[in-house]
Amino acid sequence: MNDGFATVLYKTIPLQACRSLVEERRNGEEPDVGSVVREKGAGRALDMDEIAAAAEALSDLRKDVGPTRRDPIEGRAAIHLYEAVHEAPAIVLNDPGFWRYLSLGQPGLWEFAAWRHREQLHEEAFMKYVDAKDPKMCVLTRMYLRIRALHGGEKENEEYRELAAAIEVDAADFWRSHIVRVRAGKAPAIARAFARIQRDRPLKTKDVRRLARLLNRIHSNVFTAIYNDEEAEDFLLDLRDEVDPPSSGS
Amino acid sequence: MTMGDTFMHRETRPVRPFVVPAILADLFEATVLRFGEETVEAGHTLQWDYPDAYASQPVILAWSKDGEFEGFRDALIQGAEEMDIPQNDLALVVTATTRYLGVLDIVAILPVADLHGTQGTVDLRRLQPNPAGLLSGVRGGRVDVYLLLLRQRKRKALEPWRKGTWLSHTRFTIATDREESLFRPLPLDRDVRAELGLSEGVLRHVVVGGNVWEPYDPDNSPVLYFDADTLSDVAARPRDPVSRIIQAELVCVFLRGVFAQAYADRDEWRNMDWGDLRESLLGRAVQAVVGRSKTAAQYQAHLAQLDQEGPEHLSSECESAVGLMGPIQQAFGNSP
Repeated sequence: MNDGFATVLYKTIPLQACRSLVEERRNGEEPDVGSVVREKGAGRALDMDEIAAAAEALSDLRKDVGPTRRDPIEGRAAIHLYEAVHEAPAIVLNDPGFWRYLSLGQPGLWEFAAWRHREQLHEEAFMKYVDAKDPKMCVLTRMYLRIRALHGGEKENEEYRELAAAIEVDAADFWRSHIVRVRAGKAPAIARAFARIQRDRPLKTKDVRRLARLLNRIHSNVFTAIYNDEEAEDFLLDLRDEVDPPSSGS
Repeated sequence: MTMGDTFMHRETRPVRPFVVPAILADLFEATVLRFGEETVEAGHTLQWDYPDAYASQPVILAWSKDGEFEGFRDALIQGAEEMDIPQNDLALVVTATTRYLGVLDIVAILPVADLHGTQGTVDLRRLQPNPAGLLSGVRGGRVDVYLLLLRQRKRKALEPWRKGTWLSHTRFTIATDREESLFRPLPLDRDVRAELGLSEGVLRHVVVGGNVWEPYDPDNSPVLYFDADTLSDVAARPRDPVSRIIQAELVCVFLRGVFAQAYADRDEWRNMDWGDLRESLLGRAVQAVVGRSKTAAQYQAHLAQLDQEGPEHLSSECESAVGLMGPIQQAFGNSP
């Protein structure tokens, strides 16, 4: 995230305007987003070119993809989105209104969220995927958070590119319940080690949940964000052996 | 901003699998965060009404009261000796986290052995030029301070050994959005009853709305409908024992509604830990019933009970939490 002292002008959509925009989009109409957009900040306008390019990349990614492949595609899409926005000032990225603008006003991004949760598109529950009230549920913010959890803002570390879409089994549950929602999401080396382990020697669903519970319990007493990759991997492998001892052969 | 409603105290103390001497456990008791011209005490929240000026405020962490840094350092060294932990193995770690996205940056790692000859304050803006938690004025941020093990030690039962294990921790929160009440009471009249499909005799009705395990959103708080005429009577005579019973009952009705909804949705939050539920409607409702000073493990135990046994126990405890017995006794003419 870039320095928040830099003044920047950026677009937001208020929460109250979400519902009617979603209704219109659900019905295939093109809403008048401009009438509800609020500009915030001052000075130069936030450069939206990279975000527009990422939105195009997202449109290409989702073409001809079946339901079972949606999470890996979300992971690959998350890389494009993260790289397009992560240099934006912190004050922009931490404004839910900005994410609502991206979700409902930026061409291509609404379509991605609607594709990702198409079964719920016409249900009330769909709102949470675009209204940015809960950043861990909203499609775009959770994509950002998935990569942030892996990247940790470490400039030189690009392993997130290999890991973001690497989980094959119960991927949505893995990222949502075991990384983004919990403290592992604030400890980049731990998030990377967990993803690496689950990519290379995937645990069964019940075992990955046991490992995650164990990790959460330890996190109530241990601050693991200071771990480097080697320490995190050793730590996670020990926990993995506890829930799935090597002798069990799975 | 008035000082009277500036601070809210929040404290949770997890059950530790080892004993930490009080001198270390309470190490940060006098630590304060100076944010602009305001001072935030350990474990407290500063309500900051100027989000646009958030990122430009100086942020200074003072380990102790003015002139008492030597005492802080001595306490640290004495506590380390009591626990038989070399100073080289301990560090003070400072982090900043955004309240909305929850993005955490490590702002400073200060080995205890290097504290000699240092000042008793840390300028957080100088140490790390861009921690998001100190820049994002829309919702605000948190500063966490830990005394922790910087190195892995030999594993011993009932002793801290794992790198990162913290011996003392406190948190300072700067919130740029105000805490709101948990629900909005709205009048229930003939039209609203018809709209909600309720019979004429219905006195009250809770609409929880969003998901109880998600972060609480004051813009979309649950609604408690209450008979319009009775609501007017309560508003006109709030100190009347009957009004007090009704008010207490309304809070109970609301909390029971949250617990019932939470029980119905238990598959969604069962695997979440307290840290992630604390700011949700469910987390706030649990705190409203069992108090705000429990440990994370105690809150987790209440959630486990809700998950496994149903909402009855917490629902009953609501009556104690809101003090329902007092106005009932008073209404009967007994001393409150």
